[in-house]
Amino acid sequence: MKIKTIRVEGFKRFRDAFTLDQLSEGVNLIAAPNGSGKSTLAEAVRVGFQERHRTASLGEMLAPWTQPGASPSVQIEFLHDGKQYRVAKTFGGKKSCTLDIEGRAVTGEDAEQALAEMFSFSYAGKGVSKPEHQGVPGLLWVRQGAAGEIGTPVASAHEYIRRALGDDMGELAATAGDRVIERVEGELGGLLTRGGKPTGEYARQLEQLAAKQDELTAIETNIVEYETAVDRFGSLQARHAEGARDKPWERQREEAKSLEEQLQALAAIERQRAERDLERQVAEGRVVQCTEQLGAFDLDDKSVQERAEELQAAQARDGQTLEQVRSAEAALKSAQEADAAAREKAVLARHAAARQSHLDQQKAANARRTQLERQISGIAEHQAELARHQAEPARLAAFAGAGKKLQTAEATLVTARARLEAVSTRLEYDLRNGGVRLGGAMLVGAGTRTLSEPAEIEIDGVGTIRVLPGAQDLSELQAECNRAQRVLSNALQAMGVTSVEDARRGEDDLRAAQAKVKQLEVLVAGLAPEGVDALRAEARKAEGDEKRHAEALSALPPGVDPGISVAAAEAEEQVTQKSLRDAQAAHERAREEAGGAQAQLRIAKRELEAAQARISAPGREDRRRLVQRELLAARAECEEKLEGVRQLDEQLKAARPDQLRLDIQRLAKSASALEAAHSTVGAELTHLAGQLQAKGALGLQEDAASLRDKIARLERQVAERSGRAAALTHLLAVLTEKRAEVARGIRAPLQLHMNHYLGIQFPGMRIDLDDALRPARITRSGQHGAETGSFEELSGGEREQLGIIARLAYADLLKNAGKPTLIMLDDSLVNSDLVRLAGMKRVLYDAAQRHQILIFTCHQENWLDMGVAPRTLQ
Amino acid sequence: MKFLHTADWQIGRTYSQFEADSADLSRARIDGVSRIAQLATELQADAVLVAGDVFDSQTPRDKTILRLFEAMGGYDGPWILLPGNHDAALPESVWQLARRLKLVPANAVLCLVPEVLEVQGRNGGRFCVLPAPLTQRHTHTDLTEWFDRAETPEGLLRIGLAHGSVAGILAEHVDSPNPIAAGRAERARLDYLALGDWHGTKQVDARTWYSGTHEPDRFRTNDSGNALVVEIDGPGALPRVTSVRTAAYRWMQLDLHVLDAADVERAAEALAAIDATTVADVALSGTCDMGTQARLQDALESAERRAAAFSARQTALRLAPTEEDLQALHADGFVGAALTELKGQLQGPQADVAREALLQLARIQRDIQGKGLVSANASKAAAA
Repeated sequence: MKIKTIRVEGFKRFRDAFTLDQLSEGVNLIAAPNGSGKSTLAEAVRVGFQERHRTASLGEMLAPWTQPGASPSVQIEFLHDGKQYRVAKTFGGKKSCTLDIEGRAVTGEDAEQALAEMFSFSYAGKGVSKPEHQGVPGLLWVRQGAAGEIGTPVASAHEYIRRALGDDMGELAATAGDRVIERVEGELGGLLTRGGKPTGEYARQLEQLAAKQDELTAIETNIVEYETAVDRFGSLQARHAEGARDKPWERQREEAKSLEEQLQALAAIERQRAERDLERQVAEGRVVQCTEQLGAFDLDDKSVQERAEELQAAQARDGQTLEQVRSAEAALKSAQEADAAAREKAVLARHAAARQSHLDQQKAANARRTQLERQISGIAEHQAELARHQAEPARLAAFAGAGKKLQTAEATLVTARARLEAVSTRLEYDLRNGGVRLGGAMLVGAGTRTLSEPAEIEIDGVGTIRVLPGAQDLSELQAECNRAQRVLSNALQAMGVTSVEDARRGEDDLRAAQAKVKQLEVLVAGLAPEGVDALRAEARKAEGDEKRHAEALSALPPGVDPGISVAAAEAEEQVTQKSLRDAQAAHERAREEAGGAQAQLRIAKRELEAAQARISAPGREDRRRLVQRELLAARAECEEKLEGVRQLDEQLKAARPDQLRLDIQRLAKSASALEAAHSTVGAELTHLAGQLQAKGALGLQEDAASLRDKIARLERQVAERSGRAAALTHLLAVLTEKRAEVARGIRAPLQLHMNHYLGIQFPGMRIDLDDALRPARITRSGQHGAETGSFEELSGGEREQLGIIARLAYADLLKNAGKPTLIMLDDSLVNSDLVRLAGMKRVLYDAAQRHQILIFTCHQENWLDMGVAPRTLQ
Repeated sequence: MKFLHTADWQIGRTYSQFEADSADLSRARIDGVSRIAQLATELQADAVLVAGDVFDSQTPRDKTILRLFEAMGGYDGPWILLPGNHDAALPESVWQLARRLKLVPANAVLCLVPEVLEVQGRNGGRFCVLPAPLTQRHTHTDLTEWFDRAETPEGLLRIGLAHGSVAGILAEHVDSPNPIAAGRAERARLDYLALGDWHGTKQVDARTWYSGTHEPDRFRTNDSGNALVVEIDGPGALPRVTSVRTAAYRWMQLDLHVLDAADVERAAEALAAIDATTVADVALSGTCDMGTQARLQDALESAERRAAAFSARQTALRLAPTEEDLQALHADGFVGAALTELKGQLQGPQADVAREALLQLARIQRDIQGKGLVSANASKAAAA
């Protein structure tokens, strides 16, 4: 396929008509700076082929900004398969679509449908075409920056590629194959889980089958039990009948009875034996009795001799004890003497001590009495002095408080006098020769006088001078002064003194007398705190004591001092007393022993006499001989009876009555056991009959039979389902395998084309394609040997390069299938370095030998070596 | 005198191979007894002799016992019932159960002990029954031996009744328990020896017969499903024995081997003959293409719908799809490849599963295609 011209008008950037013509086969390089309409042109090609002309929104969308009401139009002329095509579409107001094929025009939707079939894409049901509709063109026409994305465009193109390849691949493409697989999987899913376990109805039937089988097993067990019980019932019944007929226990009883009779015969012999034995015992008793009697005779003989020996011993003991008594008596006497001496010595010592004590106490009492008497006389002197001093304060009592009293009166007087003097007429005088008389008193020398009353001065020789004090209340003041004078005078008078000084002296004397009295009183109290009478009583007591001790002394007997302390004497006394007590006890014991020995002696004498009397009794020897004869006879009888018993025992032993008794017991027991067993069987029969009747009525075997029916049915159903599951599993496996084979069949040629380009750009790299024909696993030699990864793990630049390579491989495949292939790259490979870009340019040039390639770029300098001159958009 | 000889009713038997129809077949055995009762009444028989295996097991359900005795109600003469190996007169048995339940009618004579019974026939005449009941599940001694020594009143018929296999007569029963010596009837001076145990009608000697079961219960072709009418003019006279059909169902075993078109035709005819009285067991074998397989499948399904009871096996039928078969499926792409692969596997060790897988694939493919066709037609119709 080859596009010859592209013409646009009123289309986005191209307000006016623009035609890109003379496009050639192979590479076409359209170079222009950004924003000059490269992408618009690429878009125009896409819109021209892939958008419905009736799509309303496109008119506005495609119109130039400056010309919103325009009707954008695209016109593309191209060659394909040797035919001339021209497609013309107008959007917006003047919608139209025409496809000229070799001059034959198709219009409208038919034209659009023809284009879709030719280029392998579909239309959106409504609105603009979306990626999923864009099919093969969506893959081969690479928009800016989209070269690295391959998954989505391949998915959208996949079905078209497969369809396009259909003619080539023949039977390898399945139209409804996936639906078959879906159906098989769906049906299998109803039978088995993904893990292959039964599910749904199938699983339920298996469960049911197992449950029914268990149920059947239980019933069958029950049936076996029932049948076993029936058999047992039969055999028991037979046994019971046999028992009832034969009664074996009766035979045992008869045998026991005959043995019983034998046993009774033996009992008579046993009785005889017992009699014999009794007689033997009696004879034996007599033997014993005689032997004892003879022993008694012998004993008497022996006892006379023994008694005589005992008497001798008693006599010896008697003499011995008497000697002991005597020596004890001597010891007692000496102990008594020692004790008396010690006692006397102690008395003397105690008397001497008492005398000394009385003497000492008498002296002490005398000394106390003398001292007390002295004390009493001293106190009497002090009391007399006190009495004397006690009169003095009474005499001076009037002076109590005199000082204070007189001071007040004196102060009043001085004040009155001062006031009087202040208003009186002061008379100062200095008289050299002689004197004058004033108021009759002589004045001589110098001095001053105050006159409060009229006075007359008489000067001898001269006459008289009368002085009259001028003040008016002078007389009142004078009266007051006089009154104070009187008060003072009265006070002094009351005290019996004439002057204030005397009064004050009197007060001092009073105080001194009072102190003296106090002093004496304290002294007397100190000497006799409890009074003098107490002292006197004490003195009298001391006097009594003195007298009492004197009397005691005189009462004591006169004696000599033994020169030993009372304590020592008393200790000695205690020792002698103890010796005395011991001696007394020893004496007592000796006497007791002597008494005992005497008694013993008396008994021994009596016994000897008695024994002697017994053996000398008359007829004793005759009796002894009689007893001896009797003994012989008894012994003989004993022998005889013993022989009789032995003979009977032998008879009994031969007959074995114990064994007989055991036999009888055994037979009786056997009979009972047999009979009991018989009735047990009877009881079990009844029991079993009941059980069997109950179980027999359950319809077990018929239940089992119908259960077997159900199981058989279930088994068939299960077998049918498992057969179907196996068939479907197998079918699914075969289908899946075949589908994989088909996928491999399509992949192979694609892989071939891919490898062709990889050899140029990525030598050594291998790309595996997945079922959807997308590059999946990438293997290449890296720094550390072969490395494997997914397409998405490659760098952006590598993805872009591989994306384009994959597209070229698809294009090759499609071209081989006779499909039109046009490749458009809008500013692609911008992420590739110069070395890689150079490689890619070789790749593209190679592809351009088979396909028309439109390269739009704003980097024309990068593409100058593509063998064509860049075209511009002017 | 006239007797009706029957045996091996095996009431309570079930047929697990026939799934849903099992109950019908069980019921048929009781219905057969009703017909025998009716027949005995019509023929004015003196007695009905049932020679063992009246019940299929010792413990049937109460209801089953009740139904049997009800079915016997159509004949008021004596029913001489002998226990067989299935219902032996054990110390505790179905007979005791029936008696306890008070279900045994007055005219039923239970021969539970081996002793002579004098019976008055329905028409007034008397005869002697010498029964040999099984009192254990299996015996290895001849229980009819005592017949030889048994004394019966002068002038009365001696009718023996036994259940077991006559030595040397029935090849299949050589080692079987419950033996009966050949020539017993003659040695024991029996006028007639009525036998049970063998399910087909079979004469042993002039006076000894197996009546067979009254209603067939297996596919072996042994002339079962009859009762015997036995007429004896008097003691010593030879009996006249005639077989009467009592069966409701025909048991048919079809072994259909298919190789060519003629075989297919024959098979289809045979299957078409199956009707509501048929109990059928069909085994398909041979080789056929898918078209034939589908045709046979249809014929089998149709026969199954008609039959009283039906079972079929076709695992031995090999599938050999032809090119046309495969083309008809319109399987293209990998489905077609899968089809070819499965076809190839039909010759290999996985033949069975491959055959099933192939049939499943064909079914699914037809299904999908059919739908496609329908929708295509629908869209065409819409376009028109």
